[in-house]
Amino acid sequence: MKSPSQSLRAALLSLSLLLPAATPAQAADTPASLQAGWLTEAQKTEPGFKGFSAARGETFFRNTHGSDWSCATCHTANPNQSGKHEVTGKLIQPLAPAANAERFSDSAKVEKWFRRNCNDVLKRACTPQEKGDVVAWLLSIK
Amino acid sequence: MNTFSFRISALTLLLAATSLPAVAGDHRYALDATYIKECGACHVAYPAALLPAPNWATVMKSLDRHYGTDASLDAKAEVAIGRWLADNASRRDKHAVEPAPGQPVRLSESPWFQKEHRRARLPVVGGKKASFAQCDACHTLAAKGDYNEGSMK
Repeated sequence: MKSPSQSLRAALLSLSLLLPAATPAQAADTPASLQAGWLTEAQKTEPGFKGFSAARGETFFRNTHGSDWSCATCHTANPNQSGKHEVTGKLIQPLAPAANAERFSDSAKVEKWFRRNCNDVLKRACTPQEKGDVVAWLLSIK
Repeated sequence: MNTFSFRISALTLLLAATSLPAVAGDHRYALDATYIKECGACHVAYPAALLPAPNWATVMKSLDRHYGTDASLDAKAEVAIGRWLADNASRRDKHAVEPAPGQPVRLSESPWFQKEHRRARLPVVGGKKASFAQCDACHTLAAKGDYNEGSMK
Protein backbone atom coordinates (compact mmCIF):
# COMPACT_ATOMS: atom_id res chain seq x y z
CA MET A 1 0.00 0.00 0.00
CA LYS A 2 1.18 3.56 -0.80
CA SER A 3 2.22 5.86 2.01
CA PRO A 4 0.26 9.14 2.35
CA SER A 5 3.21 11.10 0.92
CA GLN A 6 3.37 8.79 -2.10
CA SER A 7 -0.34 9.24 -2.74
CA LEU A 8 0.07 12.99 -2.42
CA ARG A 9 2.94 12.95 -4.88
CA ALA A 10 0.94 10.86 -7.30
CA ALA A 11 -2.00 13.22 -6.96
CA LEU A 12 0.20 16.28 -7.56
CA LEU A 13 1.81 14.62 -10.56
CA SER A 14 -1.52 13.83 -12.17
CA LEU A 15 -2.64 17.40 -11.45
CA SER A 16 0.49 18.83 -13.06
CA LEU A 17 -0.11 16.62 -16.10
CA LEU A 18 -3.65 17.91 -16.38
CA LEU A 19 -2.99 21.61 -15.90
CA PRO A 20 -0.89 22.50 -18.96
CA ALA A 21 -3.41 20.82 -21.22
CA ALA A 22 -6.39 22.46 -19.53
CA THR A 23 -5.08 26.05 -19.42
CA PRO A 24 -4.74 26.98 -23.13
CA ALA A 25 -8.17 25.61 -23.96
CA GLN A 26 -10.04 28.05 -21.68
CA ALA A 27 -12.66 30.33 -23.42
CA ALA A 28 -14.78 27.43 -24.67
CA ASP A 29 -18.00 29.35 -25.03
CA THR A 30 -20.80 28.14 -27.27
CA PRO A 31 -23.76 29.98 -28.83
CA ALA A 32 -25.96 28.20 -26.28
CA SER A 33 -23.84 29.19 -23.27
CA LEU A 34 -23.81 32.82 -24.45
CA GLN A 35 -27.59 32.74 -24.88
CA ALA A 36 -27.97 31.33 -21.37
CA GLY A 37 -26.09 34.35 -20.02
CA TRP A 38 -28.21 36.81 -22.02
CA LEU A 39 -31.40 35.02 -20.90
CA THR A 40 -30.47 35.53 -17.23
CA GLU A 41 -29.78 39.22 -17.92
CA ALA A 42 -33.02 39.67 -19.88
CA GLN A 43 -35.04 38.10 -17.10
CA LYS A 44 -33.59 40.57 -14.60
CA THR A 45 -35.12 43.53 -16.45
CA GLU A 46 -38.23 41.62 -17.62
CA PRO A 47 -39.15 38.91 -15.07
CA GLY A 48 -41.73 37.28 -17.37
CA PHE A 49 -39.33 36.97 -20.35
CA LYS A 50 -39.88 33.59 -21.95
CA GLY A 51 -37.05 33.15 -24.41
CA PHE A 52 -35.42 34.26 -27.64
CA SER A 53 -37.11 34.37 -31.02
CA ALA A 54 -35.41 33.58 -34.32
CA ALA A 55 -38.12 35.54 -36.20
CA ARG A 56 -37.48 38.65 -34.09
CA GLY A 57 -33.75 38.14 -34.61
CA GLU A 58 -34.09 38.06 -38.41
CA THR A 59 -36.17 41.26 -38.47
CA PHE A 60 -33.61 42.94 -36.23
CA PHE A 61 -30.73 41.77 -38.44
CA ARG A 62 -32.27 43.17 -41.65
CA ASN A 63 -33.57 46.46 -40.17
CA THR A 64 -31.56 49.66 -40.69
CA HIS A 65 -32.98 51.03 -37.41
CA GLY A 66 -33.52 54.50 -38.85
CA SER A 67 -29.95 54.93 -40.10
CA ASP A 68 -27.83 53.88 -43.09
CA TRP A 69 -26.60 50.47 -42.06
CA SER A 70 -28.15 47.17 -40.99
CA CYS A 71 -26.26 44.11 -39.76
CA ALA A 72 -26.74 42.75 -43.30
CA THR A 73 -24.85 45.69 -44.84
CA CYS A 74 -21.53 44.08 -43.92
CA HIS A 75 -22.58 40.52 -43.00
CA THR A 76 -24.73 40.19 -46.19
CA ALA A 77 -28.40 39.16 -46.34
CA ASN A 78 -27.26 35.53 -46.20
CA PRO A 79 -25.06 34.99 -43.11
CA ASN A 80 -23.82 31.70 -44.59
CA GLN A 81 -21.78 33.80 -47.00
CA SER A 82 -18.68 35.95 -46.52
CA GLY A 83 -19.25 39.67 -46.30
CA LYS A 84 -17.14 42.76 -46.82
CA HIS A 85 -16.38 45.66 -44.50
CA GLU A 86 -18.45 48.55 -45.88
CA VAL A 87 -15.61 51.06 -45.53
CA THR A 88 -12.36 49.11 -45.95
CA GLY A 89 -13.56 46.27 -48.18
CA LYS A 90 -11.86 43.72 -45.91
CA LEU A 91 -13.27 40.17 -46.07
CA ILE A 92 -15.63 39.22 -43.22
CA GLN A 93 -16.00 35.48 -42.62
CA PRO A 94 -19.58 34.08 -42.52
CA LEU A 95 -21.55 34.89 -39.34
CA ALA A 96 -23.74 31.79 -39.17
CA PRO A 97 -22.22 29.01 -37.02
CA ALA A 98 -23.32 26.45 -39.65
CA ALA A 99 -20.86 28.03 -42.10
CA ASN A 100 -18.20 29.15 -39.61
CA ALA A 101 -17.70 27.09 -36.44
CA GLU A 102 -15.53 29.78 -34.83
CA ARG A 103 -18.48 32.14 -34.45
CA PHE A 104 -19.86 32.66 -30.93
CA SER A 105 -17.12 30.58 -29.30
CA ASP A 106 -15.40 33.41 -27.39
CA SER A 107 -17.51 35.60 -25.12
CA ALA A 108 -15.04 38.51 -25.01
CA LYS A 109 -14.85 38.67 -28.80
CA VAL A 110 -18.63 38.42 -29.18
CA GLU A 111 -19.29 41.22 -26.69
CA LYS A 112 -16.58 43.40 -28.26
CA TRP A 113 -18.16 43.16 -31.71
CA PHE A 114 -21.73 43.62 -30.43
CA ARG A 115 -20.53 46.75 -28.60
CA ARG A 116 -18.91 48.24 -31.72
CA ASN A 117 -21.40 47.14 -34.33
CA CYS A 118 -24.55 47.99 -32.34
CA ASN A 119 -23.08 51.45 -31.82
CA ASP A 120 -22.49 51.75 -35.59
CA VAL A 121 -25.91 50.46 -36.66
CA LEU A 122 -28.24 51.53 -33.78
CA LYS A 123 -26.21 54.33 -32.13
CA ARG A 124 -26.66 52.50 -28.83
CA ALA A 125 -25.79 49.20 -27.12
CA CYS A 126 -27.86 46.12 -27.98
CA THR A 127 -30.00 44.61 -25.23
CA PRO A 128 -29.41 41.03 -24.04
CA GLN A 129 -32.71 40.11 -25.73
CA GLU A 130 -31.60 41.52 -29.09
CA LYS A 131 -28.31 39.62 -28.92
CA GLY A 132 -30.09 36.37 -27.98
CA ASP A 133 -32.68 36.83 -30.75
CA VAL A 134 -30.05 37.40 -33.46
CA VAL A 135 -28.07 34.35 -32.35
CA ALA A 136 -31.30 32.28 -32.28
CA TRP A 137 -31.90 33.25 -35.91
CA LEU A 138 -28.27 32.61 -36.93
CA LEU A 139 -28.46 29.16 -35.33
CA SER A 140 -31.64 28.36 -37.30
CA ILE A 141 -29.77 28.90 -40.60
CA LYS A 142 -28.47 25.60 -41.95
CA MET B 1 32.29 24.77 -61.30
CA ASN B 2 31.31 21.23 -60.41
CA THR B 3 27.75 20.34 -59.42
CA PHE B 4 28.58 20.04 -55.74
CA SER B 5 30.10 23.50 -55.34
CA PHE B 6 27.28 24.96 -57.44
CA ARG B 7 24.78 23.44 -55.01
CA ILE B 8 26.64 24.89 -52.06
CA SER B 9 26.70 28.39 -53.60
CA ALA B 10 23.01 28.20 -54.47
CA LEU B 11 22.24 27.11 -50.91
CA THR B 12 24.33 29.95 -49.46
CA LEU B 13 22.56 32.47 -51.66
CA LEU B 14 19.17 31.09 -50.70
CA LEU B 15 20.01 31.21 -46.99
CA ALA B 16 21.32 34.76 -47.31
CA ALA B 17 18.17 35.85 -49.12
CA THR B 18 15.76 34.33 -46.62
CA SER B 19 17.59 35.34 -43.46
CA LEU B 20 18.17 39.02 -44.28
CA PRO B 21 16.97 41.23 -41.45
CA ALA B 22 14.54 44.03 -42.20
CA VAL B 23 16.58 47.13 -43.01
CA ALA B 24 15.49 50.70 -43.62
CA GLY B 25 14.72 51.30 -47.26
CA ASP B 26 13.48 47.83 -48.16
CA HIS B 27 9.91 48.75 -47.22
CA ARG B 28 9.44 45.84 -44.82
CA TYR B 29 8.06 46.66 -41.36
CA ALA B 30 7.69 44.52 -38.23
CA LEU B 31 4.12 44.32 -36.86
CA ASP B 32 3.00 43.58 -33.30
CA ALA B 33 0.77 40.51 -32.85
CA THR B 34 -1.91 42.33 -30.80
CA TYR B 35 -1.89 45.18 -33.31
CA ILE B 36 -2.46 42.74 -36.19
CA LYS B 37 -5.21 40.91 -34.30
CA GLU B 38 -7.17 43.99 -33.24
CA CYS B 39 -6.52 46.60 -35.95
CA GLY B 40 -5.82 44.17 -38.78
CA ALA B 41 -9.28 42.62 -38.28
CA CYS B 42 -10.85 45.50 -40.23
CA HIS B 43 -8.07 46.98 -42.34
CA VAL B 44 -4.43 46.52 -43.28
CA ALA B 45 -2.33 46.86 -40.12
CA TYR B 46 -0.49 49.99 -41.25
CA PRO B 47 3.21 50.22 -40.34
CA ALA B 48 3.78 52.20 -37.13
CA ALA B 49 6.87 53.78 -38.71
CA LEU B 50 4.82 55.69 -41.30
CA LEU B 51 3.29 58.19 -38.82
CA PRO B 52 4.86 60.14 -35.95
CA ALA B 53 3.80 59.39 -32.36
CA PRO B 54 1.57 62.51 -31.94
CA ASN B 55 -0.47 61.46 -35.00
CA TRP B 56 -0.88 57.92 -33.66
CA ALA B 57 -1.92 59.33 -30.28
CA THR B 58 -4.70 61.31 -31.99
CA VAL B 59 -5.96 58.15 -33.71
CA MET B 60 -5.89 56.17 -30.45
CA LYS B 61 -7.79 58.88 -28.56
CA SER B 62 -10.93 58.54 -30.66
CA LEU B 63 -11.25 54.81 -31.42
CA ASP B 64 -15.00 54.92 -30.70
CA ARG B 65 -15.30 57.27 -33.73
CA HIS B 66 -12.75 55.72 -36.07
CA TYR B 67 -13.26 56.74 -39.74
CA GLY B 68 -17.01 56.24 -39.49
CA THR B 69 -17.12 53.19 -37.25
CA ASP B 70 -16.73 52.27 -33.59
CA ALA B 71 -13.37 50.52 -33.21
CA SER B 72 -13.14 50.79 -29.41
CA LEU B 73 -10.84 48.32 -27.62
CA ASP B 74 -10.70 46.94 -24.11
CA ALA B 75 -8.38 48.96 -21.86
CA LYS B 76 -5.57 46.39 -21.87
CA ALA B 77 -5.35 46.13 -25.66
CA GLU B 78 -5.65 49.90 -26.06
CA VAL B 79 -2.69 50.54 -23.74
CA ALA B 80 -0.56 47.82 -25.36
CA ILE B 81 -1.23 48.97 -28.92
CA GLY B 82 -0.83 52.66 -28.02
CA ARG B 83 2.56 51.93 -26.49
CA TRP B 84 3.73 49.80 -29.42
CA LEU B 85 2.71 52.50 -31.93
CA ALA B 86 4.50 55.21 -29.93
CA ASP B 87 7.65 53.10 -29.55
CA ASN B 88 7.82 52.31 -33.27
CA ALA B 89 6.53 55.61 -34.67
CA SER B 90 8.36 57.71 -37.24
CA ARG B 91 10.59 60.55 -36.07
CA ARG B 92 10.63 62.28 -39.45
CA ASP B 93 8.69 65.36 -40.49
CA LYS B 94 7.98 63.91 -43.92
CA HIS B 95 5.66 61.34 -42.29
CA ALA B 96 3.68 63.89 -40.25
CA VAL B 97 0.15 64.90 -41.19
CA GLU B 98 -1.77 67.97 -40.10
CA PRO B 99 -5.47 67.32 -40.67
CA ALA B 100 -7.86 70.23 -41.15
CA PRO B 101 -10.03 70.92 -38.08
CA GLY B 102 -12.57 68.13 -37.57
CA GLN B 103 -10.83 65.87 -40.09
CA PRO B 104 -9.22 62.55 -39.11
CA VAL B 105 -5.52 61.70 -39.38
CA ARG B 106 -4.80 60.06 -42.71
CA LEU B 107 -1.39 58.49 -43.28
CA SER B 108 -1.99 58.87 -47.02
CA GLU B 109 -1.80 62.67 -46.68
CA SER B 110 1.81 62.83 -45.48
CA PRO B 111 4.38 64.47 -47.79
CA TRP B 112 6.25 61.16 -47.97
CA PHE B 113 3.16 59.16 -48.95
CA GLN B 114 2.07 61.69 -51.56
CA LYS B 115 5.51 61.70 -53.17
CA GLU B 116 5.83 57.89 -53.18
CA HIS B 117 2.37 57.47 -54.71
CA ARG B 118 2.31 60.41 -57.12
CA ARG B 119 2.13 58.08 -60.11
CA ALA B 120 -0.05 55.41 -58.50
CA ARG B 121 -3.23 54.37 -60.30
CA LEU B 122 -5.83 53.02 -57.91
CA PRO B 123 -7.27 49.71 -59.13
CA VAL B 124 -10.90 48.56 -58.92
CA VAL B 125 -11.44 46.01 -56.14
CA GLY B 126 -14.75 44.14 -55.97
CA GLY B 127 -16.47 46.59 -58.29
CA LYS B 128 -15.31 49.67 -56.36
CA LYS B 129 -12.31 51.90 -56.94
CA ALA B 130 -9.83 51.17 -54.15
CA SER B 131 -8.78 53.92 -51.77
CA PHE B 132 -5.25 54.62 -50.59
CA ALA B 133 -6.29 53.03 -47.27
CA GLN B 134 -6.46 49.65 -49.02
CA CYS B 135 -2.71 49.08 -49.32
CA ASP B 136 -3.25 45.43 -50.25
CA ALA B 137 -4.99 46.42 -53.49
CA CYS B 138 -1.46 46.83 -54.91
CA HIS B 139 0.96 45.74 -52.14
CA THR B 140 -0.01 42.07 -52.05
CA LEU B 141 1.92 41.35 -48.82
CA ALA B 142 0.82 44.50 -46.96
CA ALA B 143 -0.94 42.42 -44.28
CA LYS B 144 2.53 41.14 -43.30
CA GLY B 145 4.09 44.61 -43.34
CA ASP B 146 5.89 43.91 -46.63
CA TYR B 147 5.70 46.83 -49.08
CA ASN B 148 8.73 45.83 -51.11
CA GLU B 149 8.28 46.56 -54.81
CA GLY B 150 8.89 42.91 -55.60
CA SER B 151 5.53 42.00 -54.04
CA MET B 152 3.49 44.56 -55.98
CA LYS B 153 0.68 43.63 -58.33
